Amino acid sequence: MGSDKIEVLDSIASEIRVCRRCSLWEKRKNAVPGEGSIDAQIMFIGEAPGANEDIQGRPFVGAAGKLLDKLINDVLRLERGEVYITNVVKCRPPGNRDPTSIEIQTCASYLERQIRVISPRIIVALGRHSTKYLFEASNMHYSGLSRVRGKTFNLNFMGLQVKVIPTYHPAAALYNPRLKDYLEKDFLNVKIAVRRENTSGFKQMRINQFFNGGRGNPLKSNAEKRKIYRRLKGIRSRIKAATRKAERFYLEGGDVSVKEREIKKLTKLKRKMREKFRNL
Amino acid sequence: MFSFMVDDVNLLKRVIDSLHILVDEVSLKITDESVSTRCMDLSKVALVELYMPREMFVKYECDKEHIVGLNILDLKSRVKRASANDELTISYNDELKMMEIIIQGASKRIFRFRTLTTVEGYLERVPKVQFTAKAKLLSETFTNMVLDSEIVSEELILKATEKKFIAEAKGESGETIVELEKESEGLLELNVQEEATSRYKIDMLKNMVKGAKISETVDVYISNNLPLKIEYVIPGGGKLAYYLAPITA
Repeated sequence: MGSDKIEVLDSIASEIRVCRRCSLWEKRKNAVPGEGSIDAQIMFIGEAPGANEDIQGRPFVGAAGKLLDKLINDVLRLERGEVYITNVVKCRPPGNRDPTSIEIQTCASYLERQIRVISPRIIVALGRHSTKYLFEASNMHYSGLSRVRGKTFNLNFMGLQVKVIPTYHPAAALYNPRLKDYLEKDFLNVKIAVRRENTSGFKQMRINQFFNGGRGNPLKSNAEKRKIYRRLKGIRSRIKAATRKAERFYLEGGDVSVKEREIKKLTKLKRKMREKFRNL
Repeated sequence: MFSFMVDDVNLLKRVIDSLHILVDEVSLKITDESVSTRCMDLSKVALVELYMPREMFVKYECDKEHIVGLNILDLKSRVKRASANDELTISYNDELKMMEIIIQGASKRIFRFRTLTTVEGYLERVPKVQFTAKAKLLSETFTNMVLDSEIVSEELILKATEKKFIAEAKGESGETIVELEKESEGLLELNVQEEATSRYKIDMLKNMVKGAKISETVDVYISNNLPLKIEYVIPGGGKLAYYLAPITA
């Protein structure tokens, strides 16, 4: 199941990277599909990528991202890699303007699929655009961010039961210290919701964890999966780096055979790890 | 090609409702012997299994095994149009490649709709669980156990001992304990090989007990910290079972 999830998320990300459904692709440097744990219990949904995100192709990597990371680390006591972070709109609107409703509607199918695959227990909606989208997609009336922020809503998002906690976008809090206080308070509510979800250390299991018998500890195999997945990610980025170097050597007229051998070796290792991952 | 005529339209409506509380799309498997489906909800916390043998239908034809993806709402909205005295036939039109629902009453009404191609395949597996306790209860009693617990908590602990079947819920405002002893009116049978205790989310259970409309009794299977199985027998030899993953430490 885990490998299926990775494949589906990868294919969604590939579609996003070449997407030309609206005009935002014309001025983007990189589309920003999202990143994080495939088994994340919490999903953060922002509005749209900013300048730094557009350059790096990753969500929340600028000043607002730093604030978000700090809140995740300090308040929730989690690492960024343990949650999933994405945006409603996957490409940067020029000049950091607000995304239009047409852009949100056009892009929403990607987010919907990401939510279905990750199926988080809690979604933190960062800012009014993501809150409005989640409420409307769940047939709930959206009455404004200041009215709903910090509260926990049990929504039925396209058949998925999920707790949604809206709050301010970290970028807004950078310029307004008062909003930063609210943001911190709302993150405390997220922490409470997480604690309630895992009541006194209890965690909701998934039914497919019992397909191979339930006597073992399925969480243990999940931890192993995560470990192997992290290694797989590492191997993938090493292959990418080696390929880039080989291309540079080739252009400079150097010997590429060493790099070619390295890529071959890494690809073999990647295949082996993938197999191991599938068999878990 | 397959075609089957339903005897009890209202029962079919209730069966469809029981699927719809958990899933929006299903892969229906139609063989020479039965109509069945097995699928997980989106959050992968629960699984629903439906089995209806050919004996449940007035007329039944099936040339080979078919697996069709259906949007439950598509099916529900059309079946809903039939009244209790109507004859309802569900079939697949090979030429048009569409599902057909024919309602024969004062007039003959034909509803055609497309099947889904993107639904996840029919689940071949169910959780491999060795249940150590089984309780047969009146459906209404089990529904009340769940609804009583919901007043104080979002979670429910089910316990099966040699003499009792217990539901416990603890919340900030207090606790609820519902005890059924072997002699209780609501507990029809209790077989315990090994005492079992397991914890589940009430929001999911609350949806599942809606199956109570199908049958007057329910079989509840539990084990220590393993999934729960709730099984309703559908009149005519069918069954509707739900599996729910536990909350564990």
